[in-house]
Amino acid sequence: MPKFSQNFFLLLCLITPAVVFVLGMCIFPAIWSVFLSLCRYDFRRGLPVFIGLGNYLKILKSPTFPKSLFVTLNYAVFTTLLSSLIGLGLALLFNQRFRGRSLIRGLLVIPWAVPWVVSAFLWASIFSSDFGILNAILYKLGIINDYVVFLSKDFAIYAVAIATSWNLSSLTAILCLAALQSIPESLYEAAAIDGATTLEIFKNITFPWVRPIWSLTIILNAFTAVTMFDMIYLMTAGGPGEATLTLPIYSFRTFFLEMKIGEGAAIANIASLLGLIVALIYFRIFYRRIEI
Amino acid sequence: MKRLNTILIYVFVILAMLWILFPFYWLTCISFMNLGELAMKPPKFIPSLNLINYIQVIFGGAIGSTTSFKVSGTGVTEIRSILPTMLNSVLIGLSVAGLTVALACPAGFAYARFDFRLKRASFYSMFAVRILPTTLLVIPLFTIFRSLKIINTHLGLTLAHLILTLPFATWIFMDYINALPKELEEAALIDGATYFQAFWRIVLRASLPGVLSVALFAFLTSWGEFLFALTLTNQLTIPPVLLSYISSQNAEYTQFAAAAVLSIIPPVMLATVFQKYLIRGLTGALKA
Repeated sequence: MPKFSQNFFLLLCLITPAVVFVLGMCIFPAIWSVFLSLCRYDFRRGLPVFIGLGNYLKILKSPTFPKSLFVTLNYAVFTTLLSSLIGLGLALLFNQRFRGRSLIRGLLVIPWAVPWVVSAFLWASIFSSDFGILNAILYKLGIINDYVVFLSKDFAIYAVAIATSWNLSSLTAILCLAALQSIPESLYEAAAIDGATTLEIFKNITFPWVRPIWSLTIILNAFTAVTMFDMIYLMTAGGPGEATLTLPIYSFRTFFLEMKIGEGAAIANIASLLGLIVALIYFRIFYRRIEI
Repeated sequence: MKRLNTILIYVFVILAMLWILFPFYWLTCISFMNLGELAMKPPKFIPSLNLINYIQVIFGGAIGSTTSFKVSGTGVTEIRSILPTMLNSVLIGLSVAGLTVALACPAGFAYARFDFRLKRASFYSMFAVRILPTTLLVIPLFTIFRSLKIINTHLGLTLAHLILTLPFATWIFMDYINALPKELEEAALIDGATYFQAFWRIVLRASLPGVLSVALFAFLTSWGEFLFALTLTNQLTIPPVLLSYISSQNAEYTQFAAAAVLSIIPPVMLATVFQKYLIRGLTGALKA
């Protein structure tokens, strides 16, 4: 009997384009970025010059780096918690019976489909101290006497985290809801016969069922938050001062604004170590689930 | 008790809908205002239906009232029409979708059906590169594109977007093929089809929903991608152009809002209409 998997030529045709692309456009740039981080390089003065670990030492010694690392972790933890909890909450809610359910479920995909640029502006216009609707509502209700600066030194990072969570919780909810819908009705029927309470049903049936996919989304959210650039850059650009200067923003600023190419690459490499740690946790937990 | 439960559910559903939809409400309101109304304290919560911002954003600053001209230090600056940018975004989005399908579907099929040396290694290394943050990739890409002279070209940005879509698309498609029975293509072979015919006519046709979800996912990713478009091109697609509306000397928030509303119509429509395929693709791949 003829089999696909015996035709080596076909395999080559199928897989070569993708592999060549990944090698050329991903693996080579990644190596190149490590090389750049070990160099002194100025576009105006010719080719990169190898200087070893100089860039890394410079960054680790600078006072901005520990601050930036702290801001990154603060933002990532808050965003991950908020988006995962809201996402799970939305999924559980939309799994209940209520009128217009299928229509309202359809709305879940909208925040996910909105580009980060627009999400950032949506939330900037909610938190803005000039024309923010949050200020307007609070002012109208008489809770505040004058407009408050929400994107301030202390609160800006949380405001951005809330905005990021708006987008991320949508994907979390979609995935968790799909898992909830696959719970067999018979489990609930059996529980009803046994006279289980709502809390018991949640603890013993619903939550264990949704937990694997929920933990997966937690990791996805954490990874997105650690590597997030768009949302922060667009809402605060790292400011005020350095209050929201996460590592990706710090790297961007160093590279594109200060034109310190080697240093920018070095910060980016350190930042991707953080992402790598999150990804390793992911593979540690889910390695066995993936069958290829 | 049961009644209380029902009431609670509806209260929470309303809260959830506010959380999802309220940000759009205020953006739409701003898009109908002029700068004077925007600065009012407190603002009008229900704005008048004034389409001037939309007209300016669509046709450029020359049409409309005199307020469309912003006098800056050097002279008169006009508001650019967003239509050429939208066209670029559509073109690049379609190229990214097409190339993603062309590369990811064969590869996904190969990973699902073939056994070969380095299969696991190559599959995982594909994801290893995807977990590199884009801020890391953008630096080497910028230097490489600069020497290849494809900075600020459609080709350059399309290739850059392909980096973001290809690994995940391969994964989605592999999952689709795994769900199809092997007998499908083997039967075609027995009937005398060549390998290519069997792949082209039988496998691809049977997995059309998978192809569609891969293409949609690629298009949406490209449409909203910001960092590469900002750094590797000079405002070629919509996201960096939106930024230019607010970062220009006179913050044109109201026009920005109109442009933003226009720019989310295509992705939101695509995502709502085809969400069955998107969700199937996402959950299938992630649960695998």
